Amino acid sequence: MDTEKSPRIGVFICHCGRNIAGTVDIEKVVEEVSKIPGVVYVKDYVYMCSDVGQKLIADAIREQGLDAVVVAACTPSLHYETFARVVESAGLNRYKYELVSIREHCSWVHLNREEATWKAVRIIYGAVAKVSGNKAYDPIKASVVRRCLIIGGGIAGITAALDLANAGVEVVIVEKSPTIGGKMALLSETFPTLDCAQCILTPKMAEVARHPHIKIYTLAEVVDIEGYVGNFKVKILKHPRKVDPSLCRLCGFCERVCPVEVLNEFDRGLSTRKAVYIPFPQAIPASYVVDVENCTRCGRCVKVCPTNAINLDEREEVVEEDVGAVIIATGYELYPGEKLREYGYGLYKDVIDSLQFERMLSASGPTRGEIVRPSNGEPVKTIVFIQCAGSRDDNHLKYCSKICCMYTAKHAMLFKERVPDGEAYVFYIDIRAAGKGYEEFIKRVQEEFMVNYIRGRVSRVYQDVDGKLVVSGVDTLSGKKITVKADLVVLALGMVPVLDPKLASKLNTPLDEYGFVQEVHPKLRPVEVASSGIFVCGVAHSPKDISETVTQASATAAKVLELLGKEYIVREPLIAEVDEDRCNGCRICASICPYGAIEMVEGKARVNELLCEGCGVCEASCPVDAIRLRNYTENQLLNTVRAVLRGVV
Amino acid sequence: MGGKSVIIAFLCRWCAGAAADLAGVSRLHYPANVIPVIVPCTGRVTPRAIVEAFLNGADGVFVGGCHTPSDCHYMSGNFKAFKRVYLLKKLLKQYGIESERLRIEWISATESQKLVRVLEDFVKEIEGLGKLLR
Amino acid sequence: MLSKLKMAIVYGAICGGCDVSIVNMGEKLADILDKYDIVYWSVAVDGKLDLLKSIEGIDVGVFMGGVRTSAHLEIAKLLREKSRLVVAYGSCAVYGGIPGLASLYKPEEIASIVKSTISTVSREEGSLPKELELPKLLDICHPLVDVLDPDILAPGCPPSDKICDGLADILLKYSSGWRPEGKIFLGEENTLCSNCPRKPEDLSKIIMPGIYRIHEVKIREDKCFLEQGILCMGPVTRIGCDHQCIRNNMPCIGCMGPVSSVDDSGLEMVSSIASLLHVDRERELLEKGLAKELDKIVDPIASFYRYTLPRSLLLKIALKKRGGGE
Repeated sequence: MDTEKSPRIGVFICHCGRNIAGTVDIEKVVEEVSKIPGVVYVKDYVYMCSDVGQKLIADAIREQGLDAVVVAACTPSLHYETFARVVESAGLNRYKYELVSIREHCSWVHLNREEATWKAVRIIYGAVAKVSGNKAYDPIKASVVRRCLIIGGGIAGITAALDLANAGVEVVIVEKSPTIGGKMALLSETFPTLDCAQCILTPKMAEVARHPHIKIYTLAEVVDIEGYVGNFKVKILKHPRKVDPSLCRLCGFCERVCPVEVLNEFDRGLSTRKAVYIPFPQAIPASYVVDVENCTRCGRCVKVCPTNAINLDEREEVVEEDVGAVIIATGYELYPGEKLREYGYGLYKDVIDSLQFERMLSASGPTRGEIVRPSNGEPVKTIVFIQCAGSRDDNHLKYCSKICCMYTAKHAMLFKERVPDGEAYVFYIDIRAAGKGYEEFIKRVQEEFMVNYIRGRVSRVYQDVDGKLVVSGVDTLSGKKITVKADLVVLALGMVPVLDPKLASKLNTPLDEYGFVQEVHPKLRPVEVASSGIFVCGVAHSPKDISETVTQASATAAKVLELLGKEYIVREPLIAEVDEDRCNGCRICASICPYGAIEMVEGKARVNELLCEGCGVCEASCPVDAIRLRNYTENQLLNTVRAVLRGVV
Repeated sequence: MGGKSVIIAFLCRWCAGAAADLAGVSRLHYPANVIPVIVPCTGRVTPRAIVEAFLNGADGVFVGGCHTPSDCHYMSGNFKAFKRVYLLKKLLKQYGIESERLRIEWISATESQKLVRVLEDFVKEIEGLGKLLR
Repeated sequence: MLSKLKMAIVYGAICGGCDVSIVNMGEKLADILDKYDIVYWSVAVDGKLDLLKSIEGIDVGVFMGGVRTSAHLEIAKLLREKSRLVVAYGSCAVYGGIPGLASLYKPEEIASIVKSTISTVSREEGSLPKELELPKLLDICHPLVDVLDPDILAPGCPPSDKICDGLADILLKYSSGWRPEGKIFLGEENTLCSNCPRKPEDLSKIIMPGIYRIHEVKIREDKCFLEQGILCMGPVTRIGCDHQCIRNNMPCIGCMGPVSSVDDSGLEMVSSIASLLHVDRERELLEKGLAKELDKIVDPIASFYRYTLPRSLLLKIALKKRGGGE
C-alpha cells in the first residue's frame, strides 16, 4: 500500500449483457469480492462501458472516496483507455486502475458455471492485489530538439533530408566523401525505365544544396554521440577540404598544374585524377577538393588559383550539433571481388565489377560511354555477366543482394544497344525480378535484345594466350559444360553494408550478422532501430534498389516527423526505477536491458526515462530487487500470485 | 475447484495474452483450472514468482510468450524467460519436484488454437502428476 | 576483582572450522579470555552434556553448526535457556551451511546410507549396537534460527577475520556493561559487488561469455568473474569477508549468505545468471545453444544454495511433497 491509511478499492463487475452473466454467477462474484480486505465498494452493471456504467464508476469514486479501481469486464485491449478516462474524469490517477478480462479469459472459454465463477473470482482477487500496489504517476514529458541528423548523403539521405526540410525540420547531413550523391551518382541509367541517373539525382542534390533548412558536412564523419531521443549531442569530425567552397569557381587551373596523378575512385579505378580534383562536374558542394593523402604540398595549385581558394594548411575540425533524431543512411559498398579468386578480379584487367561497368556506360565516364577492354582499349564484342558474384554463397555472402538480376539485365540491354553485333551472356542461378515492370523488362532483354541467359554457375575465368578471357561454366538446363571466350567479364558483386560497428555501437544500434542495421520489427516498426530516436533507410538496412530506397527514406522521414512534430515527447510513465539504497552496482540490469536504457552512474544503476520501454526484464534479473518496474513490482507480482491462489492450500 | 489441479499461466500481454483474447473471441473452450496472470513480457516472470505459485498451491505453472527469435515486443524478453525456466527446471528436478510441472511455450497473438491445445495438454499432464502439495 | 563472564560454546553438526576460526582470533581471543571464562567448549575443555546442564547464568552462548539431530536440538534449547546472549556462529548456524545440503534426502535415506557403509568385525554388516541410544535425525538439517531466536548472527564458513573482530568487539563491549538493542547481524547489508576489487570503473556492461569451471579458463585477476564465464555468488552475498576468495582468484561461493532483504538468494541468482548468460548472442545461439551452455551447470543446488539450502523455498515444497512436516 502506498499510503498510511487503509485502501479504499472499488470493484466494478460487468455483465456484458449475457456474455459474462450468462456463464458467470455475478451475484456470487459480488459476494466473494466484497469480502476482500481493502475492497470497500462493489458494483455490477449490465454494460459497464456504456454511459450509464461509466457514470456509475465516476460517481462511486467521488462518493465513496475510492483510491483504486478494478473493472472486471472485457479485455484491456478493447476498453482499457475507456475506463482510464472515466477514472481520470473522477479525479483519480489513471494508473490506480486495472481492467481484467472475465469475458475473453473466462466466460467465453468455459462452459461450467461453477468453474467459471470460481475462476472469475480469482482473476479479480489477482487484480485487487495488483492494484493495491499501484502508485499514481504522471506521463513523462521531455522537450525535443527539432533537428535531424542524417548520416550518409546518398539518395536515401537526400530523400529523407528533403522530406524533412520541406516539413520545417532542420536537417544536418554528414557525408564522408567530398560530395553528396552516393552510389547513384555513379550510375548511367536506372532500371526499369532507363532514366538517366544523373538527371534524376542532380536536381535533388541542387535542391539540398540551396535548401535553407539543410546543412551539409562533407569529408565528415560522426565520431561520437551522446544523449537520448529528442536530445542528442553529436560530434562531427570534419576532414580538411583545403579548398574554400565559397571561393572556388570551378575553373580547373589547379587541376591542370597538379603534378600528382592517382586512380580516380569515382570512376572506380578506371581512370586517373589529380590530387586536387572535383569528384564529378555536378558535385555538391560545387568545389574542388585536395586529396590530402596524395598531395605533395608543392603549392602550384595555390599559386594559380584566381580566387585564393586553396589553403593547404587547413586542419581537421570537430564540430558539435544538437539534434532530436538520427537517420542512418550509410549505404553500401561492393563485396571485394578479389575474394572470388576463381573469377580473376584484380588479376585480369578485363574482369570488372558492375559499378565499373556503369562508369563505362556513362557518357561522362572514363570511356565516354564506349564499351572497351580496359587492358588494351579495344572494342568489346563478347561480354559475359556473372550474377550472384559473392551473393547467395555460404563461402561469401549468404544473402541475396536483390538488385543484381535487374541491373545485369539493364547492362546487357545497354551493351546490345551500343554493340548490336556483339554477344552478351548472363550466367545466373535464379532471376529475381519482383518489382513493377521488372519481369517484363527481363523478358525484353532475353527475347528482344537476344541476350543469352545461361542457368548455371561459372567455375573459372582465366586468360587465354591471345589475351581473351575464358569463362568456364555449366548450363544446368542442358546439362552441359559451357565455355565462352569473352572480351570483358562483368561481376555482379554483392552489396555489403559499410556502417562502422564502432559507430553503430555508439548509436546503440544493433547490427545483424552481416552488418546491416537491425530494425525493431520488419512489419511493425520497419525503419526504427531499438534505440529510440534512431532510424534507418536504404541499403544500410538491407539490399534494395533505388525505388525502394526512396520509399523507405520517406517512411523514415515520416517517423522522424512523428517524433519531432510535437513540442514535447510524451511517454508512458510505467518504466523501471532504481532504489539507490538497495542497488549494489552489480551491473546485471545494465547488461541485459534491450534498449540500453540503464547506465551506471557513480556505482549505481540509473534508468533513462526516455529510453525505458517498461518490459521489466531488469527487475526480474536484479539479485536484490533494487530496480523495479512501476506498478508491476516483484512485490505486486508475488501478491497477485498469492491472491489468485488464495485458499487453495 | 474441488480436487482438481490448479494451474497459473503467466501470459505476456502482446502474444500469448492476445492469443487468449482471441481464443475468447473465437469461443474456443479449455479447462477452467488455468488462471491467467497477464505480464507485460515473459521476461518479467521471475523464478521467485514461479516458486511462489507452487508454494501457494499451484500444481502447474505455464509461461506463454512470443516466439523466438524476433517476435518479442521488447526484443529479447522471451530469451530471458527461456533461460530462467530452463535453469529452474533443473533445480526442480534436483529437489525431487517434477520439472514437467513448469512449462514454457511460444504462442503468437493469432495462435489461439495452439494455446488451447497446449493448455489442454498441460492440464492433462498435471492431472496425471497429481497435486503437488498434499 | 570482578568475576569473569561466562561463555559456552556448543556444537550442532560441525566440521571443526568454526573452532579454528575462534582460535584464529589470536590476540583478540586473549582479550576475550581476560573478561570471559569459557565454561564449556568440547574441543578445548573436557566436559560432557551433564556439565553444561549444571552450569547456570551463561552470559554468552555460542552455537556452531547445524541442528541435525534431536541431540543438537536439545543442546540448542539448553543453551537458549541458560544464556543471556545466544550467538549463531558460522553459516551452519545461520543458514544451515554445508550439512544443510543433506536436507535433500529423507532421514531414512541418510540413515540407510550410513548403515550400509559401516563395517564392523563384531556384528553383522549394517546393524547398529542396541546398547547405544543414537539421537534421531530431524527431518532436515535446520539452521539455529529455525529453532530459536539468536541475539547475534555471525555468518561465514567459517566467519572471517573481520566478522570475528566484530564479534570480539561486541563481546568486549558486553563485558563492560553495554547491551545490544535488538538483533545484531554481523556483516553489512550490501553485496560483494558494491565494493568488489574486480569491478571495472567505467565499463557498465557484463558480457557473460558462457559457463566455465574454474579449471577451464585461465582466470584473470583483474576482471569480474561473471565476465569470464565463472559463476560468482557475489551479486547476492553479504559483505563481511573482505572479499577473501575474490582477492585470491577464486569466485565467491556465497558462504556469507545473502543480504537480509533477499528471502531466497538461490532463486535470485538463477534469474540473474540465466538472464546474463550469452546476452549478446541469444539470437545466434537460440534455445538449443543457450540450453547447451546452461547444461554446464550440472549441480544447480551446489552452485546457488551451497550454504543456504535449508532456507530455500523449494525445500519447503519438496518437504510437503515428501509428506514430512516442518
